[in-house]
Amino acid sequence: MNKILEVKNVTKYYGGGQAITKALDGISLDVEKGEFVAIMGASGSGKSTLLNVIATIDNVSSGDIILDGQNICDCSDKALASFRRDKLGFIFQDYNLLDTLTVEENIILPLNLARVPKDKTDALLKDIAVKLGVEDKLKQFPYELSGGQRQRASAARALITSPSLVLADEPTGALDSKNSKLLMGTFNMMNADLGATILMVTHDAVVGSYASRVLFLKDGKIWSELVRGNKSRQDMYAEIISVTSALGGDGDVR
Amino acid sequence: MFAKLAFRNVKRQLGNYLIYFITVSLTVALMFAVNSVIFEEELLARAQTIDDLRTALILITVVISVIVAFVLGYATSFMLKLRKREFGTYLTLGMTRANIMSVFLLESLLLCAVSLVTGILLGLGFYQGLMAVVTNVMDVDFSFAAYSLKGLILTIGLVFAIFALSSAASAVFLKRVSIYNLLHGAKKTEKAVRHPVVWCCLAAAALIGIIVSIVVFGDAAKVLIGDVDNGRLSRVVISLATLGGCVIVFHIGLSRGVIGLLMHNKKLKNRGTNIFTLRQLSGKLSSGSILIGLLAFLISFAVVGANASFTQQIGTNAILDRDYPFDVSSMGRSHTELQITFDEAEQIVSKYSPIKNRVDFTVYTDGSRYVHEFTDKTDSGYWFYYDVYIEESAFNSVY
Repeated sequence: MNKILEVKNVTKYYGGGQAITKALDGISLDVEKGEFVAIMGASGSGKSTLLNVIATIDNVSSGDIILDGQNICDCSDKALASFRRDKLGFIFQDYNLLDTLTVEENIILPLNLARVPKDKTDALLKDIAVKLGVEDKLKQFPYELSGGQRQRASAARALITSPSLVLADEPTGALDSKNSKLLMGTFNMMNADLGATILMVTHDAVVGSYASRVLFLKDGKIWSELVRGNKSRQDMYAEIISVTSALGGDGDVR
Repeated sequence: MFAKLAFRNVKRQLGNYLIYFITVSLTVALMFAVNSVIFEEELLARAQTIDDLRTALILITVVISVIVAFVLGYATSFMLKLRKREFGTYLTLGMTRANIMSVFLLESLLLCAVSLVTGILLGLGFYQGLMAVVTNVMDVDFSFAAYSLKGLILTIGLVFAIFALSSAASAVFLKRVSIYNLLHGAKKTEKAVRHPVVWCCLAAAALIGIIVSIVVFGDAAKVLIGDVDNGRLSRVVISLATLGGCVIVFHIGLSRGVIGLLMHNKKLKNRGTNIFTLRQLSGKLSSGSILIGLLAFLISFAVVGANASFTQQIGTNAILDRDYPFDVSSMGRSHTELQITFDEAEQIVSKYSPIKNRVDFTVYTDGSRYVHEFTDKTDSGYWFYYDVYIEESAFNSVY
């Protein structure tokens, strides 16, 4: 196993003057290639901030983040754009598909930006669309799809460049429980069959139980960690509930 | 690909763009109409005070340009803010800020070009209407005014200059804003109005300022129009500047203060659907208060500018009538210039205007300068060295 992501002693402050918030308090963690890691914690624990700084959409106050051997805290704006395009895949809570483009155009946009030849683009599109079950939705616009279909299209867009790391911010936040389970099945397939390394932020214990490792954050620090190993999903779920109870009975966990 | 994206975006955002398209088109139409009048040679040849008229029209064009710049700038910033999330998504997909700027620039260019074409088409009609009004004011016959290429070029040049300026402002925003703010900025609600009582007091003070500056301006302008006196010009400028400042402060203060006070009144706030209505109003007014102030300023000065240019024309004509009551006047210093005979003078006068009647009268002087000391020409080195008199009967026959 080799490390895809190394987060070293990262601190993040928000605000200014007398209203300074310490969102991340010297966090360090590693993610191995092929892992499916979930980050859980109460509101305000810093989990979304952690994802944002790893995603390069927010800056760290101190510390280093090394992704695929490259320290992203030292990169220029232009280098970060290429980095996001080639190394990262994003799946957001509210999909963030572009309404003006069809599903197909949304999925292949990262390839167009990387100037991938049309033949290769077509082959990659066909492959990922079949695997994520959106092959019959390609000519439609995002507003014509259901929430679950949109999130699968979003996952296809995140995976088409075969990124080193897929970042998912509350991917099931806008879905009902049935579609949440279907999407998590898709995430497991992405991880097991397509070899995607996934880092996911979630409130939901059921969603977290699909991950191979769960990190619990409290007050900007890693408070606990669960590794699934050979445990069943139900056992993992029970352990997550137990840890969240110990964390302070997080009312947000469903 | 970026062109396709820009075109699709404009198509999809048509509803949002429509109100700005209409506003920009109308202001461009007005600008084109005024610019065409500036270069209407036939009208200017007939105008009595060509330079004054041209200056007034150029001033109006400048005011309209400022309005277009403001509308276009506001439209661009509104669209940028409305689409923060979309631009944030572009950046997460690996687009560079330069890529996004080119997409947005293409979209704005498309909007600008379409508005320009529509505006000029509308302006063709506006121009004929404006010419009808101007020629009516100037007592000149009007049938159909010829269009001027210079006016068209000036309009296109101004609109594109304004477009370049507003694009530069957007570029600065897109270069500086963080992806986090783009993705999450849309969720931020408006800030609560602080110190509504202070804002209300400011609005009241500004209202007093408006009244005082209007009184001072009216007084100073009356003297200025009646009698050119540079000492009063500074009062006109200062009162206008005060008026401008007070108009802005009054509108900002009123929109922030009044709604803040209403929100503090719990009895009123909690009645029926008032809380919803007041919160909506509060949001709109607090975010748009500066815009309201600036728009009030622009509208006030468009009205002041238009009125001042017509008043100036009337004032100039009144001064001309008073100082030069005759169709043809000739003045000379008899002791330094060659004397001419009455017949020669009559020949010169008849070149400019036909002579219907000739009245001879005698001018007397006793060599004193008593009356002269009471005239406003006392210190101007005027040609009247001595008090002069004519007989009453001669005066009656002349007038």
